[in-house]
Amino acid sequence: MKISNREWAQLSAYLDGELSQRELIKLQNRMEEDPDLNAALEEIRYVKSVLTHTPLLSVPRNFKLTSAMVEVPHRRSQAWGYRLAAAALSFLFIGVVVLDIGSGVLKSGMLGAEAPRAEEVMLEAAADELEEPAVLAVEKAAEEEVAPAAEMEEVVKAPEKFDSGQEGDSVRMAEGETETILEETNRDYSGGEDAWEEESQELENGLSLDEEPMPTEADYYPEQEISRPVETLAIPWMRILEIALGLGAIGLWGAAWIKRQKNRK
Amino acid sequence: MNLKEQISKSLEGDLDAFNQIVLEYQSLVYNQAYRVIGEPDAAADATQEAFISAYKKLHTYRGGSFKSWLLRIVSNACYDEYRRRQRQPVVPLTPENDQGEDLESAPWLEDPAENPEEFAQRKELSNAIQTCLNRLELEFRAVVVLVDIQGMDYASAAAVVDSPLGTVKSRLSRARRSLQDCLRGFKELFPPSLRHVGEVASE
Repeated sequence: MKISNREWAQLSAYLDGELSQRELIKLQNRMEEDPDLNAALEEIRYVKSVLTHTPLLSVPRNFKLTSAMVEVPHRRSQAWGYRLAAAALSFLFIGVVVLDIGSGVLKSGMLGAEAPRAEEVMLEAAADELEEPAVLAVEKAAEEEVAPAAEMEEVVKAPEKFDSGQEGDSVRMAEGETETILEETNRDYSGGEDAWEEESQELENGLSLDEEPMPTEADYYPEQEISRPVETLAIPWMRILEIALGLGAIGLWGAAWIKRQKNRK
Repeated sequence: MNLKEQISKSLEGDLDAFNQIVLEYQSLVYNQAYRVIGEPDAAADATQEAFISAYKKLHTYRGGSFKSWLLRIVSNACYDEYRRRQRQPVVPLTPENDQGEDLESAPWLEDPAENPEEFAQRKELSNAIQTCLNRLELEFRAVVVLVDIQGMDYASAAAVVDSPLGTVKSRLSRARRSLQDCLRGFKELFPPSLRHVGEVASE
């Protein structure tokens, strides 16, 4: 038996008298030709007959209404006040948080504009590296220039080599300036060993001096010249406001929920 | 007092007038609910809810078939009750006493006018049909109960289940085909007049 769903539906409607005149004639013509359709119709007729004979059940009880069943329940407060307040606080909280974050971002952006940019710092560092050999070369040259003078100092420190009135013939100074210094040095030490000892004693005395005492606050901030930074009590009002609003919103939502649960009971 | 007067008085707040309607239609409503939901307790709850809802929405009745209008409310109440029961633990179909033991007979099936043998046959037939109906999906079950058990036409059934006429036609056809084999399994329970129906097809 190969009957389509549409044919089943038509047979079912035929049995219930729900087919249009045109559909009825068409189906009847087909049923005359196809015995399967007749058999299918009998199947449906059987099901319908059984269902039509379904016993009617007695009602288990009366379903009459009482006034208590149909009275309009007193409209309980659905905690609208709490909900409204909670919603308002929530919006305020979100607004304050957005304002806080926004101002922070703005501030950091401004600081970033003032501060040297990272790229610039890197470029400077690279330039320093490039300049370093040149600087070293200059320093080396300077050292070479100073070296004869240092040598000369050593010579000066050896008193036996500098007799009074005797010039340091062994010292070869190319620069006229160095020669002048040498002459002055020789003149200073012309006093011989006594002068040398005096100076050494002075140096020792100088070295043995106690370290300078730590500068006091008054040294850093002389009166009426520089005022010390004012220590303000930095209370994060924004944070306090955020916390207060957040806690308030949570509390009100909780209260609204509790009230709703109570109303349901 | 006819139905029209009962309705108008009910609209004025006369609960006694509405209770007369309840008494008149409670069997129809309960049977519809029971056949759709398949559980007596749930059907009773749905019936009560349907009548409460009908009383509150009586002003929406604009004439026409009161039975169709009422069954539409019942249909919605059945869907709601069915879904609610689906979310809760299943209540056993067989009636039980307080100790959870099966009762010999369900009080809602008892009819003092019939003898015990007839009652037993009627009960078996009722249970057999309900067993087969329970195998259908709720939407198909509702349509087949409305048309084949309540005897409604397609248009009224379509209005009750709030679906197009073609949908009702299709659902009814499929429901009947699904019920064929199941109902044949209970053939010996049916009255002799029904046992030979469709034998041409089965041979």
